[in-house]
Amino acid sequence: MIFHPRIRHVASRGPVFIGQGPILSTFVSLSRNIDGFQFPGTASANILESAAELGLAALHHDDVRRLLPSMFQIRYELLTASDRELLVERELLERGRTDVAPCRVFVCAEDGSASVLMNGDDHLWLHMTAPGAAFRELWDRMSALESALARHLRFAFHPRLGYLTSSSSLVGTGLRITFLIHLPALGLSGRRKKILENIKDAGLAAEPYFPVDGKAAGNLYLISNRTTLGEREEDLGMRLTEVVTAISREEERTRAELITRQRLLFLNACGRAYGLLRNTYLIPTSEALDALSIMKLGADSGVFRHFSRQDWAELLLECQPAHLCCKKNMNLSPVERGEYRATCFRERLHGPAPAPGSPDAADS
Amino acid sequence: MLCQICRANPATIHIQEIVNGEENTLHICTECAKKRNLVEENSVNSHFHEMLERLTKAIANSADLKLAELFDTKKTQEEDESEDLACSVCGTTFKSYKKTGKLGCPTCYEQFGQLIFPELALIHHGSVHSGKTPPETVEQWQDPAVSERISLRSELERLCKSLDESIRREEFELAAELRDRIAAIDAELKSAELIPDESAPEEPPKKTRARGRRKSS
Repeated sequence: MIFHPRIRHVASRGPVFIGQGPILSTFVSLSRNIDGFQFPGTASANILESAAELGLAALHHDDVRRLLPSMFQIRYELLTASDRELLVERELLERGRTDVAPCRVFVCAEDGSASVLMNGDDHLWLHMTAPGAAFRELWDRMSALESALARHLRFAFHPRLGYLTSSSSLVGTGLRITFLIHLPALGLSGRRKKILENIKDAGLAAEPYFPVDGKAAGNLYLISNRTTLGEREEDLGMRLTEVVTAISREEERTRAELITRQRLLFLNACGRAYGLLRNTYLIPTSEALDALSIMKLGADSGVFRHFSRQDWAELLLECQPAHLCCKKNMNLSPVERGEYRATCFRERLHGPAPAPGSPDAADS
Repeated sequence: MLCQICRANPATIHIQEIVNGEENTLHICTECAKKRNLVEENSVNSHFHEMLERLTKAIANSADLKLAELFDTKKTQEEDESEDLACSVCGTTFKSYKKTGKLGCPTCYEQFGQLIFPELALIHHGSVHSGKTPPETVEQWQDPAVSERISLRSELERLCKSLDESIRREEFELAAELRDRIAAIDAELKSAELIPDESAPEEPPKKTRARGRRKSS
């Protein structure tokens, strides 16, 4: 078996990237270390085992458990490489944390909305996801979880520097807020690059969600904060939300302009993307994501009336490598994945082709 | 973030270079970039960065903290020497921190304090934490079993260091005694399954069957 039963169970849950409009999802993570223990990068196995045990004891307290519904825990070395890849694809695990290291433990809520990694870069990495722009809601949940844990764990804290983390880029609040955003129209208009450069100068980071040769396959970007010291969590979240909302509004305005001024080209692109996915027999991830991006643009604009955001979000996850292997329950080579991905698309889009009517301004 | 050259203006140009496989990032202001011929005088980018710099300067001036005044960030000979400074708890050196941006333990922040505070002010929004704070009372040590295992592991750490030391000094009788004590504590710790892996979920979701049942009832 290449997937842990618990991870298969998480993979069977619905997709999280289903926000209405360009902002698809919000992720919030918090890094904490236990006072009196060396950080995982330098600590011995004994210290790490003690830190993991303390962390788990705190997580099993009743007041913490009720904030992580039906949570389960797995020692990291029992997760296969495919398990870890799948967790990354569902944004439950950081991209750089897929290597196996001693005394790492992965804890996850059964509904896949929250996870905890123990002994990653820091002793505790708390992570939560929600569809759409949902910083306020996520922060309320995350803050409650952190406060509950802080009643049972003494976190490493400095009166001037705040919470101490192994990386100086996280010291202070230890908070990383990330938005997954879909920007196809700004890409077509040629203004996306400049907008993303501007936000980098405002202390934020913009990186491709699925980088291929330095470009973002599927026009998907992750926008997150780079600073954690000197700003309250709520203020940082509001500032980031304002920036992302402004970009989202600009994307929507550009979409409306594109549909009005270049209607034929827009319908043609939507129809060709649908045709590619409906009839393909071998398709790599990046090409699939690019076509799905246009499909989403069409669905949001009312071109594909029978293709919902939910359908799109399911396909976005299903077409990624680890999800394909999980569905087939076997390891697949890149070519086998390309073939199986194409099969999945043909099966999902087997109905009559949606007639491209006049596109609405937005999905109601 | 302040310019790494003049340490006075906000950095609006970020230059990344890779020399012999080592990645370096330089955060500088337009003025310093011009002085070093890093931007063309009349390019579009230059005007854009100037505009951005005016904007960020206005924000920085309105903030309570004037970082350049708070810290004398000019590199001194003492700072050069301090690169060899190592944390007494974990052994992390200031040099390795400068290379990786990673610290080894909470004590590193205390021991490298005056050296890293200006660095932190440069890469962050400010230099003083203003977010959540921990509660005053923490019931960390209330579980006696957990407490005992943690003290056993600390003892194990101490004995392992003593064992290495006794071997180095060729005190083999002491080393044999320490080895036996280590083996005993090790066995005691291993007897308890501390972090059990949880079994498969009891009932995986089967959407179609559930729907069928609802229809028939």
